[in-house]
Amino acid sequence: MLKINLLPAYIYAKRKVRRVAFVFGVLFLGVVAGLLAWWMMLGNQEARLKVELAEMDQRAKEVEALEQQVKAEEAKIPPIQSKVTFIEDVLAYNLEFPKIYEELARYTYSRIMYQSVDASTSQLTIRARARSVGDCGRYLLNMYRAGHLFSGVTIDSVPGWPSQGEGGQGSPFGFDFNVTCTLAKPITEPAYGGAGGEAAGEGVPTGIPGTPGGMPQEGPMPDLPPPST
Amino acid sequence: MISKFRTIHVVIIGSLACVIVIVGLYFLVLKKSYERIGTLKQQYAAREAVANRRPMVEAQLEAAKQKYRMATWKLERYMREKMPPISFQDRAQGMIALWKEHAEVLGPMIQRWPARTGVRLMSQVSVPAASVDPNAIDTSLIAIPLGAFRVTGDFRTILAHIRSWNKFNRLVKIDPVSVSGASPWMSAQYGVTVYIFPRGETGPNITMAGAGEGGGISAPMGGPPSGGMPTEGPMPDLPPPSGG
Repeated sequence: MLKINLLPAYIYAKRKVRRVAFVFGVLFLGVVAGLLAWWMMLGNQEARLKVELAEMDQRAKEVEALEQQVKAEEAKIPPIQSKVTFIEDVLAYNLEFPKIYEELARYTYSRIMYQSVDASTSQLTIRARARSVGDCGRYLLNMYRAGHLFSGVTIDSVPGWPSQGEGGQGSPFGFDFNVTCTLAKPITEPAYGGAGGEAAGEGVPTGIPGTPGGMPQEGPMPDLPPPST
Repeated sequence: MISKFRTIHVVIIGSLACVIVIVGLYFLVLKKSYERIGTLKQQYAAREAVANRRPMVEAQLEAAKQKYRMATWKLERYMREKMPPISFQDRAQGMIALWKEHAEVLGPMIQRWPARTGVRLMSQVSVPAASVDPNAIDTSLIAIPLGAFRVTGDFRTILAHIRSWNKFNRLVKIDPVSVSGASPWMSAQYGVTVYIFPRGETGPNITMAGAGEGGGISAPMGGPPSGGMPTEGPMPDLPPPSGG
């Protein structure tokens, strides 16, 4: 049997509209619910992050407090260290001149006699006696080899001929000459840099009246090492 | 009312409503939440970076404490071995202790030392008088110049004597040494300066000391201060000044 729907379309239109409205209503509610759920999830995440931030902030504050302690500890050191450094510098300074004199004795030709040696922080001034110009020459060559000790060695003069006479300092017993040795590493006087400024120690004149005589004879010329660089 | 709407109207209205709700809620609510979360994450990262420095900072703190302990130990050792027990926490007491050091202690100690090291002292030892103004003393470091010393001996003994000043009971600086003569009657001349670090902090100035009574440290060289000052025992407690 053939079924023919002879009802007009407007009969079912109302129902169709209701159904579509219902669907969109459900969809709308679903969208709203979804958005609200999303918002609540973000709210939970935000609350969790705040708690974690508070904990991390506490730990960071502890580290910052430790950093302040480090600064405080480091600030206590310089006043003490400056005193220790000054004391150690003075003790080291006192050992410099004996060292220089010992080294000078090593490089001094045994046939040369020293009458006086005046020292300063940058040079030695030596009054010496040689028996001959050859001895003086050997002495000078030897001193040139002390490159680690001196940056410059100069003598004032040697006698001509005849060897006696004014200005030549010559005599049958030898001649006197002055040697100036510039220290390769000038000695720095210790200075106190603490509160209150540097110490004002009075300097003492290093010149002394020379007396006849000479430095001790240290034996034959030692085999010297090559100059250190 | 519904009969006036057709299906297409419902679809359009429903879609618009959904879009408006989505857009509205997103921009009004969700976006702000995201911004707050982003800010919180940035703050967290910054604080985490600070917190992660903890091991390094703890190591720095330990190193600083160790350095301080070492410096303090060294200074205490030097103070014990080289410095007299002079303190300027009370400036007047410190000044008097310094007078004793100048006038009674240092001179005999210095005088005895060269003979102990095998050389003969040929010059006079004289210690300058200390300052009489407690406010004028430089309490950071006291320098006492003793002038030039002349000793005789052989070359090796003289050098050993110079080195031996480092074992003396005070901090002594030896100025450049000049030698002359022939060993074993060699003569050496050098300047001597004694340094003293007072102990502890420096106290306030003494207002009663006035100004310029004796000048600074470089008082004229001379003997001990003449009579009147007690040399033994602590300073007496003075009665407070009467009012009125």
